[in-house]
Amino acid sequence: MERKNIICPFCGCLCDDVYVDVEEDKIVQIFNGCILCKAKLSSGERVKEALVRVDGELVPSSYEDAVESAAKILVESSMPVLYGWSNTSCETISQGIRLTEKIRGVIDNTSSVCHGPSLLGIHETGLPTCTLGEVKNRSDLIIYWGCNPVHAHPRHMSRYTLMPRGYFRRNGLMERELIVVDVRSTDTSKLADQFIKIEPGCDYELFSALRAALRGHTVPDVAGIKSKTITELSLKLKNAKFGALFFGVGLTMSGAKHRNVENAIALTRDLNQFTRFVIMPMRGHYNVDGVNQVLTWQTGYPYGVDFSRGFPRYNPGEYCANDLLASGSADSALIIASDPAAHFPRESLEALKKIPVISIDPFKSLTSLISDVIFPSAITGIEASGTAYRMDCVPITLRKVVDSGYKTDKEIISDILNKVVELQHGSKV
Amino acid sequence: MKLISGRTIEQGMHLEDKTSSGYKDVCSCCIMNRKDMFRLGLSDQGNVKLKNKFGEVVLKACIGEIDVGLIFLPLGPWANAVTGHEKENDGMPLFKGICVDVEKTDEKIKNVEELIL
Repeated sequence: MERKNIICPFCGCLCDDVYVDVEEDKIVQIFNGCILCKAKLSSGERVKEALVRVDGELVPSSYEDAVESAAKILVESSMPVLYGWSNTSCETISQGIRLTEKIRGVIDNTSSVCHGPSLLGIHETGLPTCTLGEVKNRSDLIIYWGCNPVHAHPRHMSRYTLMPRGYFRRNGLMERELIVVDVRSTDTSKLADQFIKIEPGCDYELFSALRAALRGHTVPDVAGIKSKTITELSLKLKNAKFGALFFGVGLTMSGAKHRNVENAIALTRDLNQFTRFVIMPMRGHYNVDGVNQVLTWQTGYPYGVDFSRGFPRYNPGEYCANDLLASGSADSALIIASDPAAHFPRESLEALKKIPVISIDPFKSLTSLISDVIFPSAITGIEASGTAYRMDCVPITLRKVVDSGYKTDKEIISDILNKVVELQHGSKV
Repeated sequence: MKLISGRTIEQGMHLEDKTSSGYKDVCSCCIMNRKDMFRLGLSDQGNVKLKNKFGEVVLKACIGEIDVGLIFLPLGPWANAVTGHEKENDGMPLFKGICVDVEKTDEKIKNVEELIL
């Protein structure tokens, strides 16, 4: 038995202090991981072999035949959508972009159903941010707005924000204050020094009121919050030595959506006239930030990128996976490292069921139930190495600690790309 | 009433195990205010039907810490059954603040295969 250090491949925290005991290429014990990390590493029904749907039934297939079936589906489509990418490595994503360009498809990632509006807000105003290490060492005021890290990022508070001892915060928790803004009481709000319960869909108004109060204006009651509370909160923000605002999909999925984020960033920018304040989205999948990074390097855009004219185009609301499925434009889909059948609205799921679907996933997902070609793959970060970006845009190398015998996501995408080129031009790349 | 879907740690624990009964138990259980439950004649852990223009779904209703007029449901296929997508917006479906009609029901909760296939 050997003890090995891994980077947890679950959420955007990418905790790097997790250890596993490995015996005969199996993880037998996990140390330091949160409950989500342990659940991912120790459960889940694996797909054992490649499957191809024949006459309505999924039947085992050789890997080479499955690659050929997948390539044929993509080559014969006029608007293939390649969706997911947030639970795999940057190296795989880079190959995926090459494949999308070859087949003149659309590449989209899970940002379009989580922090896509955050990216639109950032396009408008920029992002005054920093690394999580800086938050740990300097912050004395933490705000969680529209998120519940106790449930979604269980070690965020203990590793990076509220609890750790930092270089300038030797007493850790004792030197920090926590404010939570949410529409409902959560396990995170129960830990807060101040919980502000806001009316649903009124975040934009509260950000605007706080910005007005910062400038010394008298503000009325807004979003169910008393005028006095808003004024006191604005003073608290102004008087912090180093404040950090973390926001979740409570901002991006409700009310003014990307305008919420734009106004939150504007508030952070305004606060920097008085003190040091930073803002950061709470990214969910462990490499969703990496997809945005790689797509932006290679195409200029972070998500929902259309290659149908041979060059990248970007227009969220038109080229995101849900838009193309709901409008009936998508005529095939390759789903990798995500599960849209579990997380897309009913309308999109019904559209997905009508078109050929290729899925690449280490586990038996709900998308695999409606897929026509299924590739089992190695779990990146455990059974395959690669690069992932933490939620503060810090790249971290994921290690392979177990040899599973499964093909990696990158190998599968590369093989499909080679077969596509062969079908299109009669030669390999 | 307004439905808010979101992540919970129990839902996260079943992400790689979505055909299990545990995933169904977690993701088909909504939280409502005690006063709303009383007004609708619902008992704690009783079945409730949510309906809107996008579809309908049967859930288990549990009394929880939430404001009157709001329902919380972990994200998943049950929440998606009444979730819509506004075209020509910003690509983001309506996952939070979904307007739903709520009524007591004796119908059973569908399992994941019945919802997907």
